[in-house]
Amino acid sequence: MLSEQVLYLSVGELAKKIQLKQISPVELTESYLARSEALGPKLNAYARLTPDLALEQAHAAEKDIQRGHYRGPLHGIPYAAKDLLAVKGIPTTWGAKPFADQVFDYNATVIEHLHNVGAILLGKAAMIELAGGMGYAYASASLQGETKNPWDTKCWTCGSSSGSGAIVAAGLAGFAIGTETWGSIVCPSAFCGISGLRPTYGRVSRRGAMALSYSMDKIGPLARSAEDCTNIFAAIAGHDPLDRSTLPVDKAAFTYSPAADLKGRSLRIGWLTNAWKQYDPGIGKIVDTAKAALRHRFPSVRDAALPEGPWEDAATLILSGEAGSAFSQLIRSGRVKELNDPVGRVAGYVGQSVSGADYTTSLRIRDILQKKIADLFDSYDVLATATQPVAATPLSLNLVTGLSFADPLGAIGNLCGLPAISVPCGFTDKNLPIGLQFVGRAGDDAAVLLAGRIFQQTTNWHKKHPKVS
Amino acid sequence: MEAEARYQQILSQYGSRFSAEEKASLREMNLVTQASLEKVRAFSLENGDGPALYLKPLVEREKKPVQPSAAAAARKS
Repeated sequence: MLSEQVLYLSVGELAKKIQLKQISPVELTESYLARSEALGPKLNAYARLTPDLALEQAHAAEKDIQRGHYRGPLHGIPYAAKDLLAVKGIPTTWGAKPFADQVFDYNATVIEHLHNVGAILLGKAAMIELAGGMGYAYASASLQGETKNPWDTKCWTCGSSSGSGAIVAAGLAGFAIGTETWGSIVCPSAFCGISGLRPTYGRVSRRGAMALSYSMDKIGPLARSAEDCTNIFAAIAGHDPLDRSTLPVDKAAFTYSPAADLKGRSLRIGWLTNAWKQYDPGIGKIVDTAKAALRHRFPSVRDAALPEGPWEDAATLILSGEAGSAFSQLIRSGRVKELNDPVGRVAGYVGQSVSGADYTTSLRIRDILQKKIADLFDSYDVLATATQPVAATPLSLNLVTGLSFADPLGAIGNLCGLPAISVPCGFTDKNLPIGLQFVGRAGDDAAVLLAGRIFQQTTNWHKKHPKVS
Repeated sequence: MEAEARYQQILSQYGSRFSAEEKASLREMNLVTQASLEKVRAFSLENGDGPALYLKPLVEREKKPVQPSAAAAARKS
C-alpha cells in the first residue's frame, strides 16, 4: 500500500509519478480504496464505493500507460463523484431516501468526460439530500447521515457537496466532483481546507446530474490545489448538445497551458469591503493576513464594493420556484415526508406557492444585476474576500438559526453564474481551516483559477492536511 | 395577510399531511418568504427592463446514423 504522504499528493504530483511509471494506477487505486474503506465510514464520506468499476478502470489505465498511450494529467487518478451524478448501473441516490434505489442506464456527461481522460471512479460521495433543494436545518439531512469534518470530527464539512469535501480533505481520493447552486462547492472547500472551483454557469454539462435549480446549478471540482482544479476543469468543461443550457463550443471549452498562463496575465484584484457584515472572532485576523499576502503579490489590490439590492431575495425566490418545479412529483406525492430533515419535509410546499409573476420579476431583477456586475468587472478581473465568515460549525448546530447571515456575494455569484474558487488561507485557534474566495466575471474562469494558483505559489495552506485515523 | 393566505392554501390542499409542528414551521416559512417577496416587488422595474426569459428557438439534435437501406434508396433517387 502507498503511504499517506503519497495519497495526499496533488493530482499534478501524482500524474508525474504515473507518467514516469513510478506509481501504478492499480496500486494507487487499491491504496485509496483501502483508505476509503477504513476511514470513509468514520466520516460518512461516501454514499458507496465502486471497487469493481474502479479496479477495472485502473487496470485499463495501467495497460494504456504501459503501452505508451498516456492521456494526460488525470490518467490513472482515482476520484469520487457526488451522488447526484448518474453512473450507469450503479445507484444514484441524490442523498435522499425516496431515491435510495434509483439506478440510471447511462453516465452523466461529466462522468463520461472523466472516463475519456482516464480518471478512475472510486465511489459516489455523500451529499445533503436533494443538494438542499428542499431546504435543511441540520447536517444530518442526508441518507448517509452527517458528514464529519476530517479536521475535527465534531464539526461539519458544510454542504451540499459534503462527502466530496471530506474525501479530498481526508486523502481518500485524488479529487472529487461536486455541485453548487448556492455555496455547495465553495463552502465545503473552505470548511475542509481544500481548493474548489465553481465554474461559470453553462461551461460544464449537467446532463445526468440531478436538477435543483435549472438556472443556477453548476458542476465543479474539489481538489488539493487550484492547479488541480484547473486540470480537472479542462477535462470536464465543454458544450454538450444533450444539455441545452451549456454555452456554445467556443465559450464553454477550456484549455490549460500552465506556463503561458502564469507569465502572461496580470490581474486587477478588488478586495470586497461589503461581502460580510462581520467575522467570527479570530477570523478577521486570518483574512487580513491573507489580504496582505495577496497585496504582496498584487500591489494593485484595491477596495471594491458589491452593488446593493434585493439580490438574496431574488435568488431565494428563483431557487425556491425552480426547486418547487424540479421536485414537483416528490412534493405532490407526499414522499417528501421521507426526507431526513424537518425543514426539507415542508419547505417544498412553500416553494411551490411562489407565483409565476414573482418568479419572473426575480428573473428580471437578475438581468439588471448582471449588467451592474458586468460594469463592476470593467474595473477588476477578480473580486476577493473570505469564502465564509465562520469556520466549520458543530455537527448538531441548527443551521437555520445558527448559520444564518447575509450572503450577498453568494447570491450575486450564483444568480449571475459567475466563476469562483475557494482556496485555504489559514487556520483558527482550534485548527479549523478558513477559505479565501476569488470571484470572476462570467466566462473568465481562467482569472479565478490564475488568482488561486498565484496565491498558492506564495502560501502553503493548501499543503496542510488533517490527522485522520 | 398574504403569507397567511398562502399558508391556508397549502393547508387546504395538503393539510392532512402535516403535524402541528410542521404546520407551525410552514407558517413561519411563509412569513420569511413574504419578506423576500415584498423586497423583490418593491424593486423598481419598467416594462422594458430585462425580458428575463429567452426562448432558444434552435434545437440541436444528435445526428442519427444513416441506415444502409435508406442510404441506398437515396442514391437511387
